[in-house]
Amino acid sequence: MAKEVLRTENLVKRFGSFTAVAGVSITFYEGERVGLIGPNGAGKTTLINLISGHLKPDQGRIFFKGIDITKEHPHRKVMVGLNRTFQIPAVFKSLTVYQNVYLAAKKAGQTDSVNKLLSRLDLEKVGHIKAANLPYGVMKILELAMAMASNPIVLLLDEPTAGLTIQEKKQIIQHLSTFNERQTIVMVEHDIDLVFGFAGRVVVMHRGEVLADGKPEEIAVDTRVREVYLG
Amino acid sequence: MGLVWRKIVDVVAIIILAVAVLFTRDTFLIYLMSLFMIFAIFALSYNIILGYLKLISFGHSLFFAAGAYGVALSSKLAPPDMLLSFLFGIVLAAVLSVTVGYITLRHSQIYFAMLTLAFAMLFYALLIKWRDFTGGSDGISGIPRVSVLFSFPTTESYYIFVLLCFTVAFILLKLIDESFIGIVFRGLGDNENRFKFLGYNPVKYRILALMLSGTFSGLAGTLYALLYRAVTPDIAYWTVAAEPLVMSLLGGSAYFLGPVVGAAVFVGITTAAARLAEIWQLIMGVIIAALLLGVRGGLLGVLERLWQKRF
Repeated sequence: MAKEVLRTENLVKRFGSFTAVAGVSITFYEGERVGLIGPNGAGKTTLINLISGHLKPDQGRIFFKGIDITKEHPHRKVMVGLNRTFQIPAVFKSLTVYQNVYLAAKKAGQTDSVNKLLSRLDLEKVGHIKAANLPYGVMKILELAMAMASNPIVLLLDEPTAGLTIQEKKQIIQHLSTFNERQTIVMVEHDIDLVFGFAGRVVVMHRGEVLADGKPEEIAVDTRVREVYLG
Repeated sequence: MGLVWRKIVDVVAIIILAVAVLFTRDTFLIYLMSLFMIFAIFALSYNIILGYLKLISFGHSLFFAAGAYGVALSSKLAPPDMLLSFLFGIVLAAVLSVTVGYITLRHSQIYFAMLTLAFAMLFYALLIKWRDFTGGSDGISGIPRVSVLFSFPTTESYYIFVLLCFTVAFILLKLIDESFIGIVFRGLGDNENRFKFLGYNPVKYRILALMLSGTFSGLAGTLYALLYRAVTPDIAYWTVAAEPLVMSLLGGSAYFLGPVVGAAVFVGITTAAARLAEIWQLIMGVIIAALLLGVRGGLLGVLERLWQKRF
């Protein structure tokens, strides 16, 4: 059986009277490819924000490899192996592509791998270009490259293909397939076909709670999921 | 042009200009060039916060004044030695910048700007009220430019020392700009979220940036105090911190040389305007407003755009 790497216990987040995440308890295992889906406002991004430390939970706890990391700052969470990407690509716009990836690799002590990574993600030709001047799709790939350079144990991807063309989406998925099989990837995504093709496990959220959790083929025929999301 | 030559051409050009000014033997011109170099150090140091971290500080007058009063007070209280006083001024500015940074840099944007302003005004009030120690509003005068090793009795001889300090500061700040730490600072200013999610601690690097910035501002303050051989509390007033801000914006805060260009324009305009009329602040204000409204990205930004259009 695969080892547990990340677990949440009864996570709750409220914004005023609105409860965005309502007691989510979920466990992720080593090497899993997980799709996190649900309608808008279901609490997917908020859950990612809570786990990564971008937001503080009102209630509940988060464990990484059995250690309570609920109150850790985001940069400390990254150092233990938990990283994330954002819906709108978060890159350093005044730096070149090479410098962006170098900054990530330096912190992970892997500067030797920068050129190899740029080549693997087809970024070597734009290495000298400032990130501000990149097309949106390339910016998304750059953010992924930075996350990869930090060599995470768990990577949380928040809508990595939002706003991309079909070709660019394929590229992202192809790059994700090059991840080490021991690395865990949790992907929030609205493109159901893409999720079902990529993930070995799908978690469906609705109104801040986990509605269903299972293999893609089980989720596809789940009546509750069809009712609230898949239609 | 070779890579090394391209990296040092700017500092070599300024040194040649400075030496040429020395040969004119025009005391006023030498004084102006000293002032330009001191303000250039001040603006370059300020731009670590503005240009890299994209924060606005109104507290740099505190670090500038700390350097200046460090020189003045150590000359007054201890056996006067210019070199020791000079070092004491820089160390005092460094210590204060770390202290202020530790308290203020957990806050960002407008809160940071207001907190630094508050600290500058606290320091200003301290200088005014602690009359026995600081000389109150009269300040301290008669600061000696004499050390065991050397002495600079005239503005011309002191000019060599300013030029030496400017050259060292310029090279050190350029090394910071081109080093890994320069990339880190720019990254932090660009996107704090990504910075955190690469494992870097933003507060730690902001404090480091303010320490470097405050230390070089302190150096500018010590040179300023030694140029006039006197200090008054006015230099701690928060509006003094707006001067390197204006210089950086005038020259272009996105460029390493921007603050230097801005300092040259600032010294030039203030000197010319002061000679024209008693209402020089009004003239200065109009010129700065016109430049900032019409010249986004500073003068170097305009030059870059013109160059790109031409070629």
